[in-house]
Amino acid sequence: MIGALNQKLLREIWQLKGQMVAIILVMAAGIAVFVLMFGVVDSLKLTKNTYYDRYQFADIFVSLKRAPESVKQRVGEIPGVSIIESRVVFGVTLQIKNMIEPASGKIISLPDSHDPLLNNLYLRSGRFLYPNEENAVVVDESFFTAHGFNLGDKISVIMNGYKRQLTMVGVVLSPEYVYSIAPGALMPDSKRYGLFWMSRRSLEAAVNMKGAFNDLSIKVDRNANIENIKQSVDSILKPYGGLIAYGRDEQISNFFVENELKQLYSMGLMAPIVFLSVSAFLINVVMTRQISTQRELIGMLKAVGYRNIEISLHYLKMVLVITGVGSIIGLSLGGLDGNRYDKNVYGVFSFSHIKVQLFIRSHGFCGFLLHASGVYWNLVCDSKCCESTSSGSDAS
Amino acid sequence: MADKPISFKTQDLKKVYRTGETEVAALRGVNIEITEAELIVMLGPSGSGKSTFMNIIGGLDRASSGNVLFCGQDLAELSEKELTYFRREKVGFVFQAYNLVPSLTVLENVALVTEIAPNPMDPMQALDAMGLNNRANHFPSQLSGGEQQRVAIARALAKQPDVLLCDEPTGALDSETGIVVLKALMDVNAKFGTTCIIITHNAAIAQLAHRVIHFADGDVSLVEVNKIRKQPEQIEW
Repeated sequence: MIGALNQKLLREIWQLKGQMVAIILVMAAGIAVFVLMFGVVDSLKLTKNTYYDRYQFADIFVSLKRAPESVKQRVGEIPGVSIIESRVVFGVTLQIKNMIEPASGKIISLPDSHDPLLNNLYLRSGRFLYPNEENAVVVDESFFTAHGFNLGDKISVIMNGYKRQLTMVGVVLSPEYVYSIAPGALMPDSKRYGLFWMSRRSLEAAVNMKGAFNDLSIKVDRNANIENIKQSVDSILKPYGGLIAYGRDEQISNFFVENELKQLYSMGLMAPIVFLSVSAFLINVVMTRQISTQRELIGMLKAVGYRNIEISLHYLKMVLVITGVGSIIGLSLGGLDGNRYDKNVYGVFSFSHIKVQLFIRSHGFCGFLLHASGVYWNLVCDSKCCESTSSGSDAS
Repeated sequence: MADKPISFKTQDLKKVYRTGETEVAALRGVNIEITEAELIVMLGPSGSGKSTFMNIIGGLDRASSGNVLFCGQDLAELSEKELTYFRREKVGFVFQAYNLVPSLTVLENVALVTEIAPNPMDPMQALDAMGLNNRANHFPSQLSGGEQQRVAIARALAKQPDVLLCDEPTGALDSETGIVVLKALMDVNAKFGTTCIIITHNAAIAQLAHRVIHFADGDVSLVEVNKIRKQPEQIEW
């Protein structure tokens, strides 16, 4: 036995099924977008942070013309600097079969004696370089995949005016190039821009940088003042053609990742607000009409001895059904679509691992409160009116 | 009736409605006693204060001053919650507009009240008393006006109230149906000993009552005792 009032509720929900379904769908859409977007934002943040931590993404970057290796030590003495790594980075032209226009690329040195201390590489397939290995490179996955290369394939590179054949022995990902875009380009183009990592000694020899470096990556202590360190780095490297040092916020790949996060966050916030506001408005319209047409019934219920709270709860249950069903559908859709959307977003970025996290917070409860407050307001206003309704034409 | 216990007693009962600076006195010091199991008919022109009086003794409204004693308990002393329980346990209302829930069957409409009443009768028994047991699963829209009003009486009766307050119960009915409804009310009064107070504009109905209370200008203008009560079918509508 569900009780007469609950029976009334069920029959009225059935009578209003068209409107109920419409409101539930609008609400579900809002919640789904909310869960989807914030799920993606959370997953992306988690993935990015994990990737950066695990592969030692640097905090400060600086390029220069040429400096002797001894300068590196001076930079390392700046207070707050914890790890420093010098590199040779060289722009190259690539000659690829079936491509009329030459592609461009960048060759970055890898230490011969140890793994990179910063901006470490994730090996997707193949192998890393042997110490001092000549004419061999590991290549960025997006470029490798875009051209359908196989491990062991050779690529023609014009480096410092000389054409060289380099063998691709491994496919890698780098935290420095999650979003890989050529300098000056508007969009990433994996076919026309490639990244390669080569033995430091081989690269030094090829580009005449023996005992020198032209790129520096720096990791700072947790509480270090990055601005001060950048200034100190700039002053040390100025005589060596140092360009202005920049932090993660200006590092191109990270800049795009952070931008994507901001966009997703804004979308994740705005769209649900619109959907939930519309559904709150619709619930308010339906409940206001429901209550105003049932004023005499509410008066009768009060007259026969129902308490205000019992009558309020009766109407609140209708809102609960809408918000409950809307939340369940929204959460389910958001969770399902979240996985699909995650893959789309991750398709643009190159992460070593994907950390998926479903975003469930108190949004359903907030939506419910938003709707319930409107209904409660109607009931409070109505309870006064109903007393006079049940009194009938009292002055007559 | 004088030897029966008193159900309601009002003392200098006043009610003033205020609209801005305008004051309208709906009741101007009503003093009356109603005994248990009495059937009272209240007559009077519109605006004479009948409904206001009924709302106050039924616990739907509060008096501006004066007292209403129900079995010795002053209703003015009761809180909102206690007034609600007073209505729930002691009073049955029958309205002119029936006020049935259209989405509930006849049986469910009666159950609406029996579910919260402390000592209800079986809803089917209440419907049976009104001759509606074969209509239990019909919706109000499938019933005639008289049948709907009898459902409303069954609903009021089902909680076994001490007092039945009926505001124009035959106001929306034709004479034939009105007779059926009045018969039902008289049966309840006679069979269950429920005090019945009926407000009406129809002077003929007064012939059914033990006493007739005439209202005029917010006060009792005349109280008549019917030495011989007529049956509903005997009165001329």
